[in-house]
Amino acid sequence: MRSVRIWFTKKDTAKYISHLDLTRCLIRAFRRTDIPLWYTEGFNPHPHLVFGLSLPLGVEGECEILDIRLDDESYPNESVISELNRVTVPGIEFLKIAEPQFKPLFITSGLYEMKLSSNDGSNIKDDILNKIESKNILIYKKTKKGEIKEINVSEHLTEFNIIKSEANELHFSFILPAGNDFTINPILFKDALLENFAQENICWSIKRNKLLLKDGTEFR
Amino acid sequence: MLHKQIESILPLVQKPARYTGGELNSVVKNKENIDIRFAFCFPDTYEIGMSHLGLKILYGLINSRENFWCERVFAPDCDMEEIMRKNNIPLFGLESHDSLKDFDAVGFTLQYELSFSNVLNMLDLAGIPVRSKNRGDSLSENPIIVAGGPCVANPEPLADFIDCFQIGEGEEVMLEFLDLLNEYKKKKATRKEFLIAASHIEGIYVPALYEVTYNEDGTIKEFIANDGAPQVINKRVVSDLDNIYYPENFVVPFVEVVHDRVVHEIFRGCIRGCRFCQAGFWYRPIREKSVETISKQSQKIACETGYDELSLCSLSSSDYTKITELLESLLSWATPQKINVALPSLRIDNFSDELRKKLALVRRSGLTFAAEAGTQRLRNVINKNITEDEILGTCRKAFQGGWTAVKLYFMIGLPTETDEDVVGINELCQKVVEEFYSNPDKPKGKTVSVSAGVSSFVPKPCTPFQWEPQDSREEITRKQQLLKETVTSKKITFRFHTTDQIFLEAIFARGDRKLCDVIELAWKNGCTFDSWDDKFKYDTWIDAFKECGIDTEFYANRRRSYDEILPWDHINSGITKEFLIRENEKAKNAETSMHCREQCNACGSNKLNGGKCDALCKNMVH
Repeated sequence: MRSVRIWFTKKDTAKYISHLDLTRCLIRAFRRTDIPLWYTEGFNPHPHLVFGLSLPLGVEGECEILDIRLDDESYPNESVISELNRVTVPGIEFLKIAEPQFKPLFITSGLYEMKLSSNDGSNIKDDILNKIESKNILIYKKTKKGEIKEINVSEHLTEFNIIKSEANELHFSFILPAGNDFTINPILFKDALLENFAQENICWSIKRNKLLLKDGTEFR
Repeated sequence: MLHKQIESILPLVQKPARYTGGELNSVVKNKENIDIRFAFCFPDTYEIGMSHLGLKILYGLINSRENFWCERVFAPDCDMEEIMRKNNIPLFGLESHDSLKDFDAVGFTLQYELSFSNVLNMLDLAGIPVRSKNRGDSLSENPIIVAGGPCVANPEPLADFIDCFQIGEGEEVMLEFLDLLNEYKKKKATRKEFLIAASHIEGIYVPALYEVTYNEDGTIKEFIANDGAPQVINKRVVSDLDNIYYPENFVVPFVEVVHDRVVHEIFRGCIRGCRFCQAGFWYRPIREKSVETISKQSQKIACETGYDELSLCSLSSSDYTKITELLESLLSWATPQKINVALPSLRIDNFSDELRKKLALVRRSGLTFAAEAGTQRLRNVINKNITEDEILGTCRKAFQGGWTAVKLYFMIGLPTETDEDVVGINELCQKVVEEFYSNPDKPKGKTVSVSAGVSSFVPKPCTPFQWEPQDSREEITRKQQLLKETVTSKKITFRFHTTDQIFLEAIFARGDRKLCDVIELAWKNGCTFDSWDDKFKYDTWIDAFKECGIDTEFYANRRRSYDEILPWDHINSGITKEFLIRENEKAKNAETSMHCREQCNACGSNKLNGGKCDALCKNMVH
């Protein structure tokens, strides 16, 4: 048995696949290939799949991570990727495979890209940039105990960079905490930025481009 | 790619993957090369519709033709519907995301009566007039609306909404229908010209070509065919299951659906003849698929989908003549591939030792028996030919094999039922509990649980009970109460169906065209998803009946005479009225009939299949 780490995308319509559904979808994808996936032993054998960090529903991923175990150690890495791409669904593309360097619990943040635009041509840019400058972007998170906790996203937001800016369109990248201990859902961040606009009038897309370690280097 | 407008609302709804399409094996074609676009609509949510085998078969069949493109459409859930209506987004096909109005034909499958209001709602969401007569003169103005499925055993309550019904099995008639539509579309024919031509295809029923007159008491006086349409519409029957189309793959949903596995239909029809069961008669004659074909096709689908479960499907799996051979063949490849084989619809009386051992090889699922009635007398009335000894004997074997939970299904309100029969349900459950404790090999430290699902009888067309009244709602409630009061053991739990939905189902099942107005009004007043307990609006329905001047008891609780013209008499299921009357009379005397392999009871269904019935041939070989 040997462990391998696989990088894949989750884009377009695939961004609407929930994490639970993604697990089932990928297990079925493996079952359509000849990849010798290792199954747990016991009464109810099932494959062993570990994900880097789940994506919120509706957010795209450029570098999603999946760890699996192979039963046959000699099975070539390239074949894993080509086999999976042979049977995959639209939006999920398998990019590369390597030996895992770090454990997923070392992931601390994510590098995101967000595109916001208004359908009705209204000016959203100024409002959003004012919010960023105010350093006071509040979101409300439910804790495990069921309490509502207020978080100021500005205290955690880093590397905010504007890529494209027009009155009715704003495109930027940023880093937010994402990991085992503390995560800020970028959709909540988006909602806070757009609190003055009706949801139906806004087109948005969020993409997670990288998962990062504490020192800011890429998780691998 | 999704249309921008749809994309902008998806983040606002629950489980958006139900509306995106793009699932594995879904079929996207270039519409420039397509002659006929067909939308297969299931009038319920994605999770339910995607579980339906008929959809998988017809989807694959239509798409196997290069110039046809079939897409899937389901009833959007309430949150999605609200947002679609608010933003003027018409109902769309999952593959192209184009509005249903762009299609040439839109087909609904009618699996249960309580989905009727959803048919109207889906047409309206698509911007298609709900009434056939308002759809214009040309074929291009609106799609042709067609419907099939078991409810078309009596299509009359939907007669004003559907342009044509496909009666019976769809594998052949669907392509004949679409070929004809293609021909008439090319020559720019009118809707009427096409519908008259379609009425000459065997199995196609165009309700607008018929006129119904009524007697003063509300019963039917005459049923008149116009424009040369046939007086009687014969149900379509596929003759050879080994050589008829079966899909090579299934669309694999992202979200979890009700039946999320490989399904294989092993035979059609049923040899048993339980007198309440519409399916048991409607799907006759008996036609078996061969072990080799089932095994080969299932393996292919398992490969193409990655499913880890295979379920055999039929009305009574253990009546398949080579069931042991079939299981051996399936398990030979399924077990090494870690695929679980499930075998539902087992009958209690031929659940043999041998079969039980075979099933024990794969993961154990629950043990479920449909006993249907609590006493032997009533089981004889309904022709459920199993004895108490057989039920208990099977439970004993199951308990010895380690099972501790048994599910039993019953019905109350069956014809001739007395309070003794009702109480008998609990007595039978109690005996099952006692059987567990008298078993010396019972699993140590474990207790038994007997769960009894108690539904209420709905008289259905095409059954010997089609003339029988349904118990009044008060009477059903009283019987449920009586049964609840008799339970003394904590090992037994009863689950009852709500009487309101059963009552509505009974009205539609044997309804006539007068109900069209009621369905339209109730839908306009907000009735949809009537089969969902939390969405069912009983009072709105009752108000609609009142406003339309319709007496509900006339449909649900009235005994019909044998000589009354029934609303579905022009639909020929193959089963003769003489046979149904014979069976009804035997029921009154609690007389049973032998099953089809012991003796042919001359139901008549083989006539639609050139005289062939697999139950008959098998009988002659022995």
